Amino acid sequence: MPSPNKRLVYLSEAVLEQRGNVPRGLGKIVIVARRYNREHGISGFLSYRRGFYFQVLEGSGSAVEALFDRIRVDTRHRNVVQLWTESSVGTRFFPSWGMRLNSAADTSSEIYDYLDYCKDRVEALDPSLRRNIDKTLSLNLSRGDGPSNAASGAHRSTELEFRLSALPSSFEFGLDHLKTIDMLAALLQHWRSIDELVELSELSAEEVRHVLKQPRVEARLSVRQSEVKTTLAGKNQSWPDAGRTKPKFYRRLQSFFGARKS
Amino acid sequence: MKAYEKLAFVGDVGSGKSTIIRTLSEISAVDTDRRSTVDIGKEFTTIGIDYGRISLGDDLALGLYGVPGQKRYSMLWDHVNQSLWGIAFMVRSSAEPSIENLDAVISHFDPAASDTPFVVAISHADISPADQLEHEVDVYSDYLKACSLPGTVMTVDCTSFESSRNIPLLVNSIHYQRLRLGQSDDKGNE
Repeated sequence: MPSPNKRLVYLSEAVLEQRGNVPRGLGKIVIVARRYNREHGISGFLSYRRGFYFQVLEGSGSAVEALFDRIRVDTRHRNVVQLWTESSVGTRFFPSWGMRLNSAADTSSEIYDYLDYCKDRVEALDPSLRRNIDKTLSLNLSRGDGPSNAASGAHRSTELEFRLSALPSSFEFGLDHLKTIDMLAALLQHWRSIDELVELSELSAEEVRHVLKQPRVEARLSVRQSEVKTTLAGKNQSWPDAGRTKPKFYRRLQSFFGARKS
Repeated sequence: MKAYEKLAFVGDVGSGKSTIIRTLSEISAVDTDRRSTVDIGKEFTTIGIDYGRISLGDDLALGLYGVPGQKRYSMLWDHVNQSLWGIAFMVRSSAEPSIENLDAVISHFDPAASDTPFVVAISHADISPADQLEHEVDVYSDYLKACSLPGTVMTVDCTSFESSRNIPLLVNSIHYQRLRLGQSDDKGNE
């Protein structure tokens, strides 16, 4: 993609379906945005959560402005507010993201990094706007915390942690099939260290690394270090022996479909 | 008393939901396939709720429910949408992924609100180019994440037991991870 010269950030309210919490036409937004942005050299990310869209668009000035003009009159958005723009930006923050969708900022260190980079701009916003960004990205900006302190009470880890944005198209890696699925499911839910993956899947550390290095997995893998941990560590402290308390249903389903040590 | 969990397969025409229930079920699956009156690319299609079952020992069972994925059948969705253990949305592999029916199913079942594991299973993937499949997985995963759901998108060969079992196993793993995190009750299965 060519170098961008403009970045624009906006917040809008989503028009929700009459039933449920899913915004109207979200499916089409996903499909159309990916195609449109690829064709027009636009990158960035879109987050939807709790009734609000928060979006960063980066690309040439004319492409970004044309797209934002479309969004402002799009009936799936209302109360569209341009939060800030940056000119002559030179490099992309989200170079490989044609239009990545996220439901919360904790799924991506790039979003943390970007909001850290824009800290002064965020702090200059009206408090009501900061509260709405909080809702959308699950942060604590309105209380004055920076993005890296968003998960209050959590501790920092120096371990590498991993998270999968999507499953690989096949689960066959020459290892125990059921354990591999357990590991992949664990990676979809939260950030995990190698040790946690070993504990949750019963694979060895070497086997866990083997799966993480597979191109189909690596392509969808995010890695972080020294970031705020999720709640896993705290929860595990009150879950002293999950193996013994694992309900029969889950054990039996695993053993019905294949050998698994009980 | 036998404990029971329900896994719903909701899918488009020709997505393989009747086939996967026949593949997984240990009883003769009750299917509602009828001869199509219009050209949909196959002779039979589901018009009601298919049913199959897997017994897990003497006191546990998993019920398999197949339901049409088009919005006009949403009255059938309410028949199965109670205390679901998991939902698998079945979709046939296509170069132009459609999210219309998935949109309707997620709006109706609202799995994020009920914390029900939700899996998108792409069938007939063996005849699709690898690049196309990657694109499909990305599109559906992005959509799920935007709906506050994890990117649980997988491919499945509905005629293969080995492949089909991955859906209940993945749902099982998601529940298990939640138990490990203490984020889910065990619905009285212990």
